[in-house]
Order: sequence, then C-alpha cells, then structure tokens
Amino acid sequence: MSNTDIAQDQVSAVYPTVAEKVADALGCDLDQLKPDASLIDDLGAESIDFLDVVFRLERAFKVKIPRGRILEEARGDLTTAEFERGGTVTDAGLERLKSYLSEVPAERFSSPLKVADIPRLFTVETFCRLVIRQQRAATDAPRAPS
Amino acid sequence: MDHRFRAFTFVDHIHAVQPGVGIQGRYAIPSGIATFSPALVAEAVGQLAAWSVMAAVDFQFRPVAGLAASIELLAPVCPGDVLELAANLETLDHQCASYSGFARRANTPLLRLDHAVGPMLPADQFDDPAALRQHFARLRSERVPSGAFAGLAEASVELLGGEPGQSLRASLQVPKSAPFFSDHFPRRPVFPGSLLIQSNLDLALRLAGELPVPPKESTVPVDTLGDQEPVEDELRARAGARGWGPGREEREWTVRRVTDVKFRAFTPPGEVLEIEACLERLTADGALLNVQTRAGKRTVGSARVHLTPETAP
Repeated sequence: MSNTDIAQDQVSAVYPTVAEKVADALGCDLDQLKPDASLIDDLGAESIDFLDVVFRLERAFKVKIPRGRILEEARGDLTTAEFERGGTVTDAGLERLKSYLSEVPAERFSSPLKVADIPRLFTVETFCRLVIRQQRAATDAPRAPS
Repeated sequence: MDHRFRAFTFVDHIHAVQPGVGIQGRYAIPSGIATFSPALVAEAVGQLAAWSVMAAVDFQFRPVAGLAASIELLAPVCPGDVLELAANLETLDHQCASYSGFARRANTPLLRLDHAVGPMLPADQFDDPAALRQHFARLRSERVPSGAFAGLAEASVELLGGEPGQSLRASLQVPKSAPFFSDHFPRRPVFPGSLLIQSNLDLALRLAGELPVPPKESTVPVDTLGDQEPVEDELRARAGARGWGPGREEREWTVRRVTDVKFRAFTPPGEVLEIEACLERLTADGALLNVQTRAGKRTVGSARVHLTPETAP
C-alpha cells in the first residue's frame, strides 16, 4: 500500500491519540510533539520506546502491529538484496523508502543511508499512517466463517 | 560456591508448558530468609514466562526486561509461602516476547503482571544455551529442592534530599559483586530490573511517608472530587488543620500497583544510579508517584507507583 492512499484528514483523525500515546511512552509533553518530529532525533526515543509506542497504539486502536512492520512495508516487493547491501540502503531501496515515508521531509534522507539509521526517519505521522494501514488491513482481512 | 540456578532463580518446578503459548510452575520461598519482596514475585513470573519463550526458540534467544504495563500487588508474601505461577504469552517474534501472568498462594492472588514486553536477545550473550536447556529439562521432570536462595544483602542506598512531600532523590550503589550476578547472568552480569523496581518502591514509600494520609472516612465529599481529580491542596490543608501527617495516622500508604515500567539500558555491576521519586498526584483515594532512575544523564528506568491509604496491620 502506498502512502499516497492515505488522505491528510485520515491522519488528522488519528493524530491526537497517536500523539498522546507517543508522549506517554516517551514521557514528554504533548506540546513538544509535532507531526514531523523524529522520534529519535527530536524526542530522544530509544529502541525500547518503539516497542512501547507500538504496544500503546495496539491497545488504543485495537489493532495488531507486527514488530518491524514499518521496515517490512517500506521494503515492499523489493528483495533484501535489492533493498540493502552490506547494511547500506541501495539506490532502489532509497527511492522506495522516500515513496513509502512520504511524510518525512526529503532533506532527512541522507545518502548513503545505513539500514540501522532508518528508524531515525520515523516521525509521529509515520505512526499515524501505520495505524491507518493496520486498521485497513484488519477491515480487509477475510473473516473466519462463524 | 556455585550460585548457578540458586542465587537468583525463582522457579523450582514447571508443571505444564506449551512453548511460546503458556506455562505453569511454582516456587517455594525459603522459610529461612528475612523477606521476599513483591518485586521478586514479579521476577518469578517473568522467569517462568522466559522459560516458555526460550523453549519455543530452542534457547537461541532469551527475553530481557523491557516493559510492563501494570504490576498489581494484591497480597503480602512471606518466607515459606509456595508461589503458584502462571504466564500466558501474547506475542512472540524475533524482536520481542510479550506476556501476562500471575502468582498466587493456594487460592489467594498475590500479584498480577499485565502485558510485560521483553526484547529478544541472543541467549549465548548471557548464558550457556546448553545449560539452560538442561535446567529446563530438570524443572520439567522434578521439583528442584527449595532453599537455595539465601536472600539479598541490603541495598546500598543514600538519600540525597529533595522537596518535602514533592520529590525525593537517592543514590543506589549497585554492588561490584554479588551472588545474584552468577545467575543474572553468567556471561554478562546485569543488575536485575526487579531489584531496581524494589529500590524504586522503597524510595516511593519514603516520599509517601511525607504525605498526609487521608482518613478512613474521607471528609472530602466524593461528588466534588470527580473521578481522579487532584485534591492535593485540600488534603494538605485538612491534614494541617486536623493534625494528620506522617506517623500520626492509623492508616499508611501501601503500594498497590506499579505501571508504565520501562527499562532502557542494562546496569552493570558497580554502577551508581540516581533514583528520583516525584509526586504526580495526590487524591483522597491515593497517591501517584513517578520514579525515574538515571545513570549519569541517561535515564535507565522509569515507573509510576500507585499508593493507597490502608489501615496499618
């Protein structure tokens, strides 16, 4: 699913709850949060905070968010070898990433980009879009016969 | 003396296990020790869950302490008690395991752990996977004799001060060596998160001791309070007017719940930690304290401690 499928008003609808959960997880004030704030660079998040954010979002929105979902979706149909080489994102991978994370300001995509640094790109809005995609996936999933 | 599977191991038998799904076990608290804190009961539940997780991944990875949404302390625990333990896994993947669990003594619920999340790390960084596999088999097949745990030395804590009734800071000197490091963990000694939580609770209770204890029949009309509205000023004013205060009330603050537990970093032996407890909210129903633990400038742990006023035993 492309990021362009998600309308801004959909993002706005989930943003207050996402921002509240991010603020709870990071122990920061809601005033500090903006949609384009990088969780790591602007808000000081560490890897455990990402687990915390995801688990709070799962509870708040009653969706299941597999760990590593953002990276998995960002890679899309590219194979691992097409996406990254020796821990560095390939040109094709970078284009794919820019398309998937269209909410991230273009100047934040450094080149070369280390795979380990991809989470530095994630913003509050990235998590809004993740929630929306998971909500859609849950709605679209075939239901088991009763 | 070999402290392996003795000094900080709180599961002595596994009754039933579905690796990666659920597990039940028990632990007999040695009767000869002075105390067994609620944090160690939570540790026991976590250790039981970890056995199920590790068995599911053939002991190649292990969960470590990360998050806990809520730990409810339901009843006191005494040396000599036999803990019946259970844990149900909610998710298990290459990044983390999450689970909920409980401890009870016969039919008395003692502690409930809700949605704990443990990041998964290579087990061989911490331990010998073959030794873990072997001990798991032993726990499944027999009841390991209890009494191996000899208790813990008193934590080296120094109060640093604070603002009376608002905040309190203390330094915690993590020992350079201690028997529990042989178990936690043999290849990489780490100060157990449960012991850090216990230090958090101890400091929270010290700060709570500076707070007025609401009387049994609240004189604050409930319908004017709202659900969880802070009434700190009113309580303090009434405490002053009526002479309530630390040590003068028959009721005392009791820790009933710890939420938003998070461990951000491993604490190695010998580290000096600074713990700060701050009052977030004081109401007629209870007090909420935020506790942060730092190593230098880095926050290594945090938790919210919920206390309620209860009649002193």
